[in-house]
Amino acid sequence: MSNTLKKVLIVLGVVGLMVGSRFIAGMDEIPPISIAPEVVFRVAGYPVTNSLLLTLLADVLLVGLAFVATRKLRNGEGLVPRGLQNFAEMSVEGIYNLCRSVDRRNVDRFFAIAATIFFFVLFSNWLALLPGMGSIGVCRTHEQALVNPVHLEEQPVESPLEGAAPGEHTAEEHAAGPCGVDDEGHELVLVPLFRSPSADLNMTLALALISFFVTEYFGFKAFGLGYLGKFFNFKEGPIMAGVGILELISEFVRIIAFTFRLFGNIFAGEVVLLVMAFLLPWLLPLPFYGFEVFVGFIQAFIFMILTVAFIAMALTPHHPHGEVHEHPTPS
Amino acid sequence: MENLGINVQLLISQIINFGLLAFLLYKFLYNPILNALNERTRRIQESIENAEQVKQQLQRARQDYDAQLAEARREAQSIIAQATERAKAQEQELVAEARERVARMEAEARERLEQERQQLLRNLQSEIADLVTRTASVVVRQQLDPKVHQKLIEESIQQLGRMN
Repeated sequence: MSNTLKKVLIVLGVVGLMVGSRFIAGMDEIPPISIAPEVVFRVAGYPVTNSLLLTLLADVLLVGLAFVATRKLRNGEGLVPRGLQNFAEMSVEGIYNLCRSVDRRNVDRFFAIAATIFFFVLFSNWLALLPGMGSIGVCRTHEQALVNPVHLEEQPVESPLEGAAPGEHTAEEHAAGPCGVDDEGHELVLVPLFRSPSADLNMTLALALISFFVTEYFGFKAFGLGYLGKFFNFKEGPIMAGVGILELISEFVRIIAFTFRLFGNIFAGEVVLLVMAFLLPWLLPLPFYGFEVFVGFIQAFIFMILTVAFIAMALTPHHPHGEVHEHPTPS
Repeated sequence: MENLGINVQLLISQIINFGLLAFLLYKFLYNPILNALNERTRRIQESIENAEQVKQQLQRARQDYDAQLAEARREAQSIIAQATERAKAQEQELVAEARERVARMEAEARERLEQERQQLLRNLQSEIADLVTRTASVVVRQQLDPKVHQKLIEESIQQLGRMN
């Protein structure tokens, strides 16, 4: 009886704490959510975005880890693996075996690309979950933070309208952040220093394009112009011709599917975390963080395994009299 | 496109970045590790083969050893058998020889005995004859009767013959 009472009290206490955190540490308003990455600073007109910064951080970390992990191996020692090397070998071997199970013959040709996709996406996803990645930033005006600065050149021209603009802006974005207003009265927003590259369409589109072109490259390299026979197949009746055209379309749809699958999952995860932190800052975001760790891994894995599967399909000989190609729709 | 934040410069940067990253990781991660894995596989295979070889050698050595042992045992047995046989033959020889010698000795002894007896007999006969003659002469001197004389001689000779 008293045991049950204790449990009830603990649960009530935790719930009370969670709800209380809304008042103790709660935000007044959800910070602005931007689909596009924000520019932290510009180098000669080149926009250095927060997602680009995290990309570089992931690069440095990955190459650094790889460098440290294989130092002994590159010196011709270390046949008995230890510590970090052991872990690196396990990961690489695991991915290698996975790729080999998909296409035994050509695994060495596409392995580097597949594994790099996996490691890069995984690191960029997980690094973005570290504390401070979305919250530490610099204050910029809206125009400065825009990736495609449509009005950047016009800004000086706009400045005479300053009198009307600040009032409008402050009304619109009353509690945008702790940055306040700059000298000219423009509303300042907090631009986080780091943003997950996967929540930036530039990166996901880049990976999708690489995946697409690599797939087509292998296809053409293996079969020459005969590779096109898979798509323009008019010798086997109208059904096969239609299937070929569908394959051609799906080949290009893959780019969009790749792009938005990764972007959507990671971006949505960030929004969910933000909303949960806004609703009840304590404890509530925790399970979602765990879930985002899982999503970050699974998306990296999916991107890699689909690329491998598509490359393997492109390298499969096309049977003129065979059955219709199995074509899993990416989901 | 622009509202989504897609920017050609950033897109190209990301593509170049990926290419560079792939190259660096290939150089520093995949290549060394895959080489090491292959090398390790090779070494393990080699050592397994070596172990197999050593095992075979050991087996061969043991077989050799067993064969030699069996050979030695067989030889020993044959030597023992030969020795036994020889001993038996020798024993028989010895026994036969002993028996022969005994027989010879017996025969010799018997012959000598016979000779001695003959000698004795001869001596005895002559002695008896002598004795008889002397006795006879003594008797004759006292009472000489030719008939009695003759009779006495015959009796004596008969007695001698019976004794013989």
